Amino acid sequence: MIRFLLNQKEINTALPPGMLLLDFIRYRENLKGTKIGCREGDCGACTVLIGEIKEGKLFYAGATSCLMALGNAAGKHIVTVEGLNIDGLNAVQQAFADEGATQCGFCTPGFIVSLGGFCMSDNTPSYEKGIDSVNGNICRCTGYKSIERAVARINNLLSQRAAGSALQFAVDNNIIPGYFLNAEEDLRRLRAAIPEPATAVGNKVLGGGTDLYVQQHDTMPYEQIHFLFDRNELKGIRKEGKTGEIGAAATVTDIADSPVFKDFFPGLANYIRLISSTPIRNMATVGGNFTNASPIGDLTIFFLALDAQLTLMNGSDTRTIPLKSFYKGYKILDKQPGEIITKISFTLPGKEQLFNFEKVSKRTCLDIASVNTAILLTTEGHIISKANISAGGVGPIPLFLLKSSEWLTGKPVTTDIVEQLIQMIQSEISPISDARGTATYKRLLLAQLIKAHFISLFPHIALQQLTKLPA
Amino acid sequence: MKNIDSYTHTRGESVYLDDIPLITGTLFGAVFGSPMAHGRIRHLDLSAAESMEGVIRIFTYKDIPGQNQIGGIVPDEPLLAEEEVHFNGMPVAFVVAESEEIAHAALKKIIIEIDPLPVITDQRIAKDKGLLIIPPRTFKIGDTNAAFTDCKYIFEGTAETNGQEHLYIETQGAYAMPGENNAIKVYSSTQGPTAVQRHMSAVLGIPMHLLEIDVIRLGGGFGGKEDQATPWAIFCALGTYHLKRPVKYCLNRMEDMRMTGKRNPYSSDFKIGLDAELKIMAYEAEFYQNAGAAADLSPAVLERTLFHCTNSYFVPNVTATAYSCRTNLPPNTAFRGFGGPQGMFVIESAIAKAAEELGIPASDIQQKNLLQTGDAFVYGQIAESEAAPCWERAVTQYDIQNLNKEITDFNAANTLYKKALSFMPICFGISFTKTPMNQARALVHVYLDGSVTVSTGAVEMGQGVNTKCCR
Repeated sequence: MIRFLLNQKEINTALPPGMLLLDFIRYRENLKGTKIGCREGDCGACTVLIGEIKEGKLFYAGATSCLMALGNAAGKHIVTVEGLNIDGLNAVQQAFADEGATQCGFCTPGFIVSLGGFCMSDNTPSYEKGIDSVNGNICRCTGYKSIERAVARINNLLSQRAAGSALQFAVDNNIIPGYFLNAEEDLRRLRAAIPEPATAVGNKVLGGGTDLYVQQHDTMPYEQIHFLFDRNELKGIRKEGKTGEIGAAATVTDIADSPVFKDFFPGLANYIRLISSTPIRNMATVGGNFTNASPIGDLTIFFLALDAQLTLMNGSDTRTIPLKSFYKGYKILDKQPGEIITKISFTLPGKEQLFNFEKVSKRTCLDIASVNTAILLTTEGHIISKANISAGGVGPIPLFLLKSSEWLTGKPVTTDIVEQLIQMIQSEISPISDARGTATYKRLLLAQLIKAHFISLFPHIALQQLTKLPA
Repeated sequence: MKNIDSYTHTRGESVYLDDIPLITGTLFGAVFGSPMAHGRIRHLDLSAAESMEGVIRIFTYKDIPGQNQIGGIVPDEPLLAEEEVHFNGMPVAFVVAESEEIAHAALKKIIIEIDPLPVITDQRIAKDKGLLIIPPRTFKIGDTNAAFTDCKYIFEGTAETNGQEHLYIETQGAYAMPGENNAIKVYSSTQGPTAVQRHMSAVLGIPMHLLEIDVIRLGGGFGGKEDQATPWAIFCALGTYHLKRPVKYCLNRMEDMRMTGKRNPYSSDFKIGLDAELKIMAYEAEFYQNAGAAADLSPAVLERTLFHCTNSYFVPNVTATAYSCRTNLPPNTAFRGFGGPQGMFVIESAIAKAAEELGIPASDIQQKNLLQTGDAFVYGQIAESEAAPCWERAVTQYDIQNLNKEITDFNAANTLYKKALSFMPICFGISFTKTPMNQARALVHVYLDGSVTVSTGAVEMGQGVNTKCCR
């Protein structure tokens, strides 16, 4: 049985745990405000809020219900647009009505839900955070300007909030209905009644589902699923001395919010901005990104340059391997059936180390990379004493550019060296032409992104000539 | 006045096609589309799919009681393929089953063998082979040949605009239900209920008065649900006609993107001639429109390209010819602007090229040639023009002089990032060129209590026609 709260109702269902939350909401519970646009997590029309108790506190985050297994709702508070309705329009809905931010209306409930989550967050509100909360929602009618004005209006309201509970403020200001004030207690009572999830019950391993449900949506409801997403031992981001450790079920949002990552990666916010959207980041796990084995997995490329180590577990057996030896061929992994990734560990960059991540996709945000790359350089003065360069979209697997990285070791940072490095890299990659670009274009992209690495990391060195395109 | 639908839109209470409560006994459809872009069907085996539990019946062109034809302007588009397929995704069979899942599972059991024929996707190749939807159209004013001899500057070139997916967030769909005496009521997500009714009547051999087409609202259309909404409604009605049961079909996003047409891609040649004062004295253009496999609305789109071929400028000598070319893509169709943008882009490309070659800002040429009241369009209409005052107002309102200075300063101070500014005047003809369509009727009921209903053929798709009717 799967038990969770749906708006104000307690759900207790024996339906298949691999069924989509979206289908459950629309066709079993008849809540038709949650819309179907793409079933791929791209449009956000099906956005719901997931309320969870984390570190002793109830916390809401947006998710696309079209990629979420019913089983991953267990023990949580799921909120649809109906669950945000009060008598008359709530403040978010009123802002949309006043600013003409709804035209055909099909995408609107998704925006309302995402912004409801923004209003329920205890973080200090800002216009930018409001906009970020809807970065996973597509609108085809408005051109977004009216939506931006509505967000500004909502942010103005929130800016009147003194420190203290966002939920209380939201209830007091007609942003959400009053039952949210009891939600934490209701959820605790429900969770207390739920037995610990059984370990390894199925053979289909599922994290957040953001890729699996795109690829296998028609068969997933019938699978025996081994749920990992809510396993406590797979969560968390820690610093152990000079080592960073990430649980395999940590999400992209966990990384983005992690004090460890913020400390050691000054450019983090810029990298995260390029990786999917807020609701997808809330669901997508690091381990899932690695095992999906996409040659352009953003996190894979990020951690390859950090020379991360994977800990894999099979029953009571564990082993640790470098991420760069995990990929054996297109979608072929050094992983046994039944084996799961439990942990990712890597050496945190020191003072003399520089890190950068670059990505180009057809759309700036919310898109799969055409080419992505990361770099970690250790420097002694102007000399590079160690280099790790990774690149995606330029071969059948996410590449660690070993030869080029070794070649760069001991070299000074000059325009000539960077140009030579790019030549070297061209001999180490084998891109193919596909929907994301021709092979020639991808070679050019990687060359430009390598230049971008050096321009970003060495702003004080005159590398301006690098901006020129090759003839 | 605010959008009167914003109350239900923002609360998730507006009803779209997939939100209509299901009638008991409803069956679900799915279309089997051709896996090849062009070929002759050698063998179609439905037996494995038909024998699946829950599959009620699979329809092919043989089950059509009337004409197998849905072409609106040119009768060149069968509803279901007979001997040949003309684009990848062209409907070949319509499965009706007890559930959506079964209908989709059955699609995978259909076996089709097709002898391939040459596939043409490039409109210029199609034109060379004489594959035109309608004879070429030419708009002409003055004498370009004579005028070019007097021009100081002449520039020639080619301009390409690609296709574009409408991506209405609500996909195509329809829901048909039986009535008395063979009457059928169909809910359709269509921009053109009359087109649906007319073609349904021809396909089913049922008079129009027995076919009721109801549209509540659309979750976006953008032109993509003009003629392209028709087949899905007829498929459902065909199922209802034979089975006397309600039949529903909402396409999933993959089906929708694969089987429906997009904005017409264009490839165009231009030749522009200017005098010493930068007045455009002569302009020639040849437009090659990629219509896809059937006419759909492409001839009307083509006409609008010609209407807009000089955008907001007066050119005394123009020869513009357009070819609607038949290729093996899904039939391309209306999309915001309806051919206008494709026409304007070419003259703007010509001006941009002239400006680049002459080393001057394009706005110098644009401003000098703006339409004045009394000037003639290429099709003879005399303009009442506000173009020049509009331009001057933009210059003042946006303080262009100061903006230009800021840009120059920024560009002098920055190596890696550059800014620029451009003007884009637009002249766009409203209303239909088929003038009898520029009218509307409404049926108004005033009830005994004083309340009123207004029934119209106007389709609410976010443009606010419901609100307009209340005004």
